[in-house]
Amino acid sequence: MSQVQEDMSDQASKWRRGGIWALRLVVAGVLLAAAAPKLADPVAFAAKLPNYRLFPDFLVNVVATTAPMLELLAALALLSGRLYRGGVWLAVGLMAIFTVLIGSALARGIDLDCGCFGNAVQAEPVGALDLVRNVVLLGLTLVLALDLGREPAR
Amino acid sequence: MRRDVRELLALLAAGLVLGLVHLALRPDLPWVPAPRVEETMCGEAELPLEQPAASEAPAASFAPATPMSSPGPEDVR
Repeated sequence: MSQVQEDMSDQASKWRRGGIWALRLVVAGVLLAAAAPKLADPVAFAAKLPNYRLFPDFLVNVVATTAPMLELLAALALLSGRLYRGGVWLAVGLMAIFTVLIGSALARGIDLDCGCFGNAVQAEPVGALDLVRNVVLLGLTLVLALDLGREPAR
Repeated sequence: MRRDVRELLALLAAGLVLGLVHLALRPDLPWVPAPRVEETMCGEAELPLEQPAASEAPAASFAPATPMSSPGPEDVR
């Protein structure tokens, strides 16, 4: 490979790494912003979960404390690089589940506050915009997952 | 791939354990919540239908009903 080609390849690799780092920061930031208010006030989050009409009563409080903890762990893994690969897949799974939950509520015409960011934001009925936001976030995490195959874990 | 699964399982297990510890440390968040009370359109809790209290219910009896007193002579005109 010529020197010019090597330089271009290095440059592309730098840009790709920068982009991946930006994606990590965005996804981790969203996960942290979602986890913090729910961890601070799990009672408020637990009150919103039954509105989805999907969780049996005995699981509501377990989900209300476990889900934000998983969000926190995924964010920390993305930021720190420790258990990075697991953190990426956990983020993909969480985003996929959230997207399905919101889509299911919309499809059934349930007028609920998604509780995605706990009580940190004004309670508003879930809408198509929430679904689009989650699909975009799911796409970002999938980009991170696809990048896992391109270079060894950090 | 095996490493990905191992790390994912480790994070899931850690999240579950920490979540359960968090739940155990919150006395205001019971393990199994009380059944939700359905609300009416007026926002008032709908109470379950109850049987009338024993004191209010008329006592069932097979004894012949006491005859009504017949009108006295002063009532008869």
